[in-house]
Amino acid sequence: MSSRKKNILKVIILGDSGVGKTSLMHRYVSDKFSQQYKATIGADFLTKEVTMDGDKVATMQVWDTAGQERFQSLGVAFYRGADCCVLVYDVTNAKSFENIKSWRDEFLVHANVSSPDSFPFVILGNKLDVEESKKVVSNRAAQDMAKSLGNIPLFLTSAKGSINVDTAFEEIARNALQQSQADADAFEDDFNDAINIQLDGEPSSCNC
Amino acid sequence: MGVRPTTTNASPTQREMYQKSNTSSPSLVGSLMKTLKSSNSTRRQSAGENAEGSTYEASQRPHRFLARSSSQNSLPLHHGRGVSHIHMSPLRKSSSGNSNTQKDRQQHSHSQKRDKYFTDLDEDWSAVIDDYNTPIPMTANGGIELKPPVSVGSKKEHVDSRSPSAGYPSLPQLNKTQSSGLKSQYEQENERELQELNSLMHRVAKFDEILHPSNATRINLSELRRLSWNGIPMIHRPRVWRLLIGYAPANIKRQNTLLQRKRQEYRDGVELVFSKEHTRDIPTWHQIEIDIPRTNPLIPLYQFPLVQQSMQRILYLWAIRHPASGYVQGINDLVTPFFQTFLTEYLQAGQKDDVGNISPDTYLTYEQLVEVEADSFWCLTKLLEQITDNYIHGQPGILKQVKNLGQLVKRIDSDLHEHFVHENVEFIQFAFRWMNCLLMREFSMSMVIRMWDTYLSETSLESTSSAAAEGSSMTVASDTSLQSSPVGAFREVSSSTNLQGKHSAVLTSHQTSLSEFHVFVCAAFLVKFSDQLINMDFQETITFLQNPPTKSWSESDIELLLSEAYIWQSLYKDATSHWR
Repeated sequence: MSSRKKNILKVIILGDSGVGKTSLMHRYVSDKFSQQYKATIGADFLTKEVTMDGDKVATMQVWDTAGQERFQSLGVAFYRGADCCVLVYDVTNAKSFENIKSWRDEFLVHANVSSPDSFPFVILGNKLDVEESKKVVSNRAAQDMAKSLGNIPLFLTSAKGSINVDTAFEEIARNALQQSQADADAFEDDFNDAINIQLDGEPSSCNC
Repeated sequence: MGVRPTTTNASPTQREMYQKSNTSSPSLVGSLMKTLKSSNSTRRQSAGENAEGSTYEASQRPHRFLARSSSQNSLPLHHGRGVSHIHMSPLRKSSSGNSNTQKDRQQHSHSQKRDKYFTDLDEDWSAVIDDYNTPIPMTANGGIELKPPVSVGSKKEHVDSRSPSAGYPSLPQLNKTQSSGLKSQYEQENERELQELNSLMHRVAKFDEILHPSNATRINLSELRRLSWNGIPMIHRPRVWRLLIGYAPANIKRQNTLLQRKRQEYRDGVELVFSKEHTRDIPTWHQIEIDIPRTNPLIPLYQFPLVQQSMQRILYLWAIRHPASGYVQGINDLVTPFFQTFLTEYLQAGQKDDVGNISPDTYLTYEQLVEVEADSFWCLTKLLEQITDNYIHGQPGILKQVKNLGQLVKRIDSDLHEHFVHENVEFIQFAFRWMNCLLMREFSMSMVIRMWDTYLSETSLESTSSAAAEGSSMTVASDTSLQSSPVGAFREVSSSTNLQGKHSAVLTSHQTSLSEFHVFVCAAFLVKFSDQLINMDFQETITFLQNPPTKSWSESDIELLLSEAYIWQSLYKDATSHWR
């Protein structure tokens, strides 16, 4: 189990509808951009082979989720087992920025992660390519929020202009790998603990 | 046609009709044949070029046998090979007469040719055979058995005189001795094209008969449903859909009045909801606004601002009128088959296929567009009434359907189910969208529209007719509430009074019918790929199912899928009774 887990990094992308989650995923995985994506229903799935630190090879499984609130009830089916969660907002949409915190909370509630405090998130402020006058979320505000949520790494990106997407996903991959290994270690510990309990405790006996 | 030995069940009337149409309107047949031929030659070339496409075709082939044989009643091209289910009623009826569009006809005759030639060949036929200019399959197979069902002498001559080789630019000129083998090939093609055309005309006549009963004031809905299950000719589709879904009443005399009233009700609703008195629901508005440009982005029709405004009105009004559900992504997909189908009513026969490319303002007035809009709105409303549970909070309808799908696949294909369990593939991971968008994301629009002929026929008759009957009283009710007017009163409050309670009970039984059948369609769809899926790991499975290879699906593939779903449903009726 642990060896298999080491090779697969599960990443989940969350954020309001229309912030560019699907576009970011496609930009990262296939370096393409299209104006013609349909709204994601349920979740879309893509994979990419990643190499980190020169020698560590892993497969990143990216789940791109639907942004509409109504679909949140099925989040649990997709959140489980995630190694990193990417929170996306649109720099031209203040509401999507305000919702970042609730997306994080939503994830923590449903994903059932072992240690919520250390679980890795990455925030992406997308649509950086649009003209300045349309941007409503300041970099300052974004940094403040990222800090307040526990020093979450923040990247300003553009899927359309291919700005910062690879850099961001490298960070995501690194975080995911770390989390995956931490989880695997925790699993080992649990496993050993379990054995210890059996060895240390009284042998269970039947009273009949 | 009906004269081949295998087609003993073609009725005398049917035969008469074929003959009649042959003799009485040669010019029509001739000109249609021409069109068919010239486009066929284009298709051939492209089929030869598209190696990828033909490989896929090859893997689909066994299914075609079933598909074709299931429709052998009106298209007696095949010996019923391995068909144990032709006694089942929806399958007995022709599933091919509906291909009334030029394009569909091409596809149809295309696939029929393939089937015809290779019905008796081994399963491992080569995809190269897509090139119909090669006479090899005929001789390789002994040829004789595959000789055309030549029967009506006069028709044969008629065809010969109208088959100039000019229609086949890619064919070499052949001398007499060479051509004797090939001549029958031409004849076969002509025969088939005629058969198809006749079958289509017969179908069109059948629908005409039902829609314009000579001695009744009501349309026989159960007959219409039975016939529509196998596909509706495009010229009848708008009218038939309005009837099947319970929007237009079966009572012919009341039809116009009711439709006019409903269209007015829609206009009033739009006016009210878009008026200053109405406070805009910003989140809903925003969600619809960002989804509209993403609705069928590859179909030009949905990029015209005029059409996008229509969509916005339909979806926003629906959302405001149904607060328990509100707008949910995917509903934008569901309105488009209606919209597109109702638009075809205003297009000339030759243009109907192009509905996806032409801006509506080139062929209809704004008032007419609003009527199309109104009809789309009401039909969407009727459709969503049947699957309300899919879109309310928590989407319990979808979760239940996904669960049922899992249980069903466990019974139908336990190996595949076991494999999924082993690979940690969960049904929700791929089937959620299948339920939320009624498989619309998996198929091209023309395939979806064909599928909906069957889906809209799948609602139980009693509930639809009573729903239609109640439709009028509901209209009156909401008319009065409109007069007293605050927006709140305009909303449809669900089942608070006795009458409404009764109404919603009707709808509940309604709901199971369509959503239950849909689960069987999804199961048939999944199991279709079982051979491939069983060898895939988690990642490959999800990737495959996210983008299933349906691009080259033709109507006959869809019809086979629907037939298979019907069979599963018949077989597992008892096992799934608890779904209700």
